[in-house]
Amino acid sequence: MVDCKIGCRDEAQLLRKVVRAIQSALPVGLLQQVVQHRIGLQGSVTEVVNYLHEVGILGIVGMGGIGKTTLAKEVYNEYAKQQTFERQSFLHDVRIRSLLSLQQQLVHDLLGEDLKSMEEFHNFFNRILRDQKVLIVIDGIDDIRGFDQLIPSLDKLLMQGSRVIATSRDRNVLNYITSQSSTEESKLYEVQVLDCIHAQQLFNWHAFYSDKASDGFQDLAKEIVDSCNGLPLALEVIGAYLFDKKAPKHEVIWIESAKSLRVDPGAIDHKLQNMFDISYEGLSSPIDKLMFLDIACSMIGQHENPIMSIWESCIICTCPSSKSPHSSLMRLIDKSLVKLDENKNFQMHDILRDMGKGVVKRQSLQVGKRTHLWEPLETNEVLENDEVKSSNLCIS
Amino acid sequence: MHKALHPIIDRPTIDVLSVSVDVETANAITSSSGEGSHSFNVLSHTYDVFLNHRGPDVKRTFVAHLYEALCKAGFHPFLDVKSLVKGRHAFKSIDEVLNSVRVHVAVFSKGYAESKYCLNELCDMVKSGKLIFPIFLDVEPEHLRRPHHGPFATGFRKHMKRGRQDDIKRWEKALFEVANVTGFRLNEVNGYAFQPLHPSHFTMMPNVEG
Repeated sequence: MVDCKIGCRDEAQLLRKVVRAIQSALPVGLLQQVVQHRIGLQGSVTEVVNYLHEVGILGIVGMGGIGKTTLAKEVYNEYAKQQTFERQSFLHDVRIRSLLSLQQQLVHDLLGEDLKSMEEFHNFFNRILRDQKVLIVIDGIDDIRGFDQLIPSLDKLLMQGSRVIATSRDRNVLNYITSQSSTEESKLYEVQVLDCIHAQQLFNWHAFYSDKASDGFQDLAKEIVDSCNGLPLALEVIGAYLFDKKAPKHEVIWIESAKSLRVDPGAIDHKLQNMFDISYEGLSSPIDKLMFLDIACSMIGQHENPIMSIWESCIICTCPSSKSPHSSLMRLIDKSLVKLDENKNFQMHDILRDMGKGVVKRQSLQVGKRTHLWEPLETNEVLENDEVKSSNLCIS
Repeated sequence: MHKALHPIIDRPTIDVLSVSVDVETANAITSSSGEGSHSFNVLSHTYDVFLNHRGPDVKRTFVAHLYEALCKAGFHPFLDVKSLVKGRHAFKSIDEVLNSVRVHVAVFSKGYAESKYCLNELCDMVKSGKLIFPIFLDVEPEHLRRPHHGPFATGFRKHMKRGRQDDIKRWEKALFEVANVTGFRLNEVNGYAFQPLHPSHFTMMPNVEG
């Protein structure tokens, strides 16, 4: 008889696999998928919920990678569990979606109906206003245009006990949006970096799958955490990178990582770039790297299955000796570079996506010589000038 | 000009954890307070993962770590009967817990079969038809298929002596079923066979009888 058992090197890996398997076996239902290790979140969730007793619309502001979306999801789930609102809607990736698709999701989530055209939206919104108390989360908004068409009568909505949360890196956008309400003074909640203790815990959970660092790694772990400035994204990506590097021979990798993160304390962007470079350059196979760039450049939000078929056929043609793209994807997920959401669609943090695109842009000054094309204008130019080389692997 | 903001919560809420009422009473209270559709949710406090394990073997180490990791990931795992008493909640018996959880984890260690509680729970888990994730710690699936040999033999001999023949038949059947479910194994020997995780492992349902 064949035993189908997944072997694990050590307890940390076993724990991580079991928890992931349980996470993907249990559908999240009406909740938003949250992070694997909820650390340092409860305090800010309580603060946001308390603010929302007093204001109708709250802006969540903070730099990229600090955990705005995570906080918004936690607050959303908290309300869903308490069943405070009759209906809730979480609008993802607002920045890159069309107004129509956002309106469609609102109508679907809050009324359970299909919106065919933008003309119908006003009628539907009036129905939402009539008798429902709802929660709307607008995640990652970076432009005030469109907000009035998305929430046409903010005051009326808030007057009946509904609430709106918007997240953004841009304080001015949030100031404008919250000032649209005349019910209360506007309120911004600024997400803080993790304190030392929580930062260390978050890193330890990603690197060791435990609250505590393994023996022999405590000092290095502390040094790396200190240089991440309490930024959850950096702690997660570096921690996940080091997860499978705990043999004595790996000590040098830890020392190198700590060294390259130790840049001057003000330059967060620089630090994030170094964090990304360590993790991306650490990908062992060229297939892993190409798959990461494929996702970053053009496959975010797409379903795993069709993309996997494409990869499988590509790999069979170009590199038959190579292993399956499934194991590559698993490594990318293990390294926290890519995530699969509850619908098995690819997701990636904005910062990692932009850094992935940066890798492609640095390949060549000539657009036609890059491996990936995603800007419509650039793509047209390359196609019209018949510049497509065999090196162009992916055009979207 | 500031207009009055309508509060989010406009009726009293009941916290099931603090009053420790059973589900029926709670529902009665909610419906008598007017609208029964919200402001009260028993589900948010129920358990979602059942951890079946032999306490003395693994409680202090592996299961404690698994419990902690699941909590950190936002789950409410059920560890053992003790937590029935400790955390005052709506459950009266282990049966209710077994019914409420959405997924089972069975941790097989060398002393697992010595406990009839473990084995009985395992039968209930198989019967429930819910997903089971077996974890093998120093035990092989083959030991579950032939429990009268290998590490489970001592326990089974003890149960035989005590005349639990009928129970033994049920236990053997449940162990055999679970041995065939996709699970996880800790390879502690140096030459570990690392098998990358294939997504299809997750969708494979255990083949159990209802």
